[in-house]
Amino acid sequence: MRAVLRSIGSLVALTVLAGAALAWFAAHTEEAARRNRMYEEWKTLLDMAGEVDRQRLIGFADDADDAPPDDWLLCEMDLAILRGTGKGYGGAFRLAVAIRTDDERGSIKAVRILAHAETPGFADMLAAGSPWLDSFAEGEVHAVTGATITSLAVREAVARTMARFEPEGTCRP
Amino acid sequence: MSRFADAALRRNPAWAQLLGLCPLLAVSNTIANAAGLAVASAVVLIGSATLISAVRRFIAADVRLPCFVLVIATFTTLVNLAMEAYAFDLYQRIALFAQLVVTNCMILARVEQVAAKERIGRTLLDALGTAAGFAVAILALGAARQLLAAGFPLAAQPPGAFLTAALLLALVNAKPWRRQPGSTAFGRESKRGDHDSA
Repeated sequence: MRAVLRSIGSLVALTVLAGAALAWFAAHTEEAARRNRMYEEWKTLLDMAGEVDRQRLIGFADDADDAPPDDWLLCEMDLAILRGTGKGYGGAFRLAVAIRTDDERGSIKAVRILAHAETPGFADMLAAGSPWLDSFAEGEVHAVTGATITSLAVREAVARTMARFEPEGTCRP
Repeated sequence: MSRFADAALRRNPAWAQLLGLCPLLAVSNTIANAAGLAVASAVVLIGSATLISAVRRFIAADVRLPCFVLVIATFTTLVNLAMEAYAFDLYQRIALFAQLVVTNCMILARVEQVAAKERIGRTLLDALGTAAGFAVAILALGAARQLLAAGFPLAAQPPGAFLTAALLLALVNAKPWRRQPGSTAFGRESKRGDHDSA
């Protein structure tokens, strides 16, 4: 009985200590990590926009509260960048779709995955610059063998995000 | 000091014991990535071994392995949180393998064989030596792959990791170094019982 209690005591004490250490450290690093993630998201969105003024990114570095807008209209560039969500094989993911506003139907300029939990290796197609992700701009997107659930989920999420886009009453007078 | 050299060279975790080969092969495509994982592994190994050695008398023998894994997992999470906050570029490149440090059998082996039995001073020397040995191994592989990749792009790819690691392993165990059967460039190889799979 005493041995059992000692075993339980060892595990409980270490678990409490580990939990306390992790909670304390996570609280101290949370803000820096959040800023890093947001900074990275800004970089992705600005890369999608292309020629946009880089001052926005430089300005952001001094103001962490300036989060990217969900629907970012860049009327002077005839562009709208919308962010959406979906659920893949490994869990929820977030993406951004750059849409040309000068096109009546609002054609896709680029798609980027901002965060995902898909299996590494199988998720290479979700990296910026992958031919599969670039195929959204070409208009013909196929499911990927070996990552069927992920590819179909991204395709559906892009379609849902696109459905939110309303060309009338946004940039046009 | 001999304990440090013994852990780093004669019992080199990668080239003598063939431990921790998964991260060694996966994250050695560049020297920068290799250095990042070497530091992450060193912090987890040294921190876990020192803490376990300090509290070893309070850990019941029946639950020692869950306790060891709990401590190693805690240090791994702390290192990952620190990387995400203060070295985000590196974190993005090696996050997956930095998280998998918790499953690195090199760390559990040193904790079980040394930290659970020895005093803090000896444990610390052993952990420092093992961490240095792993760093030398992964940096050598990273440097070799990065240099070879200039002429042979395959060296930077996963098959290149296996080929380059095999070449380095062959070099370490090459005949000119062998003064007597069973020895390597670093000294006599470990006893049969010390070998383990990664």
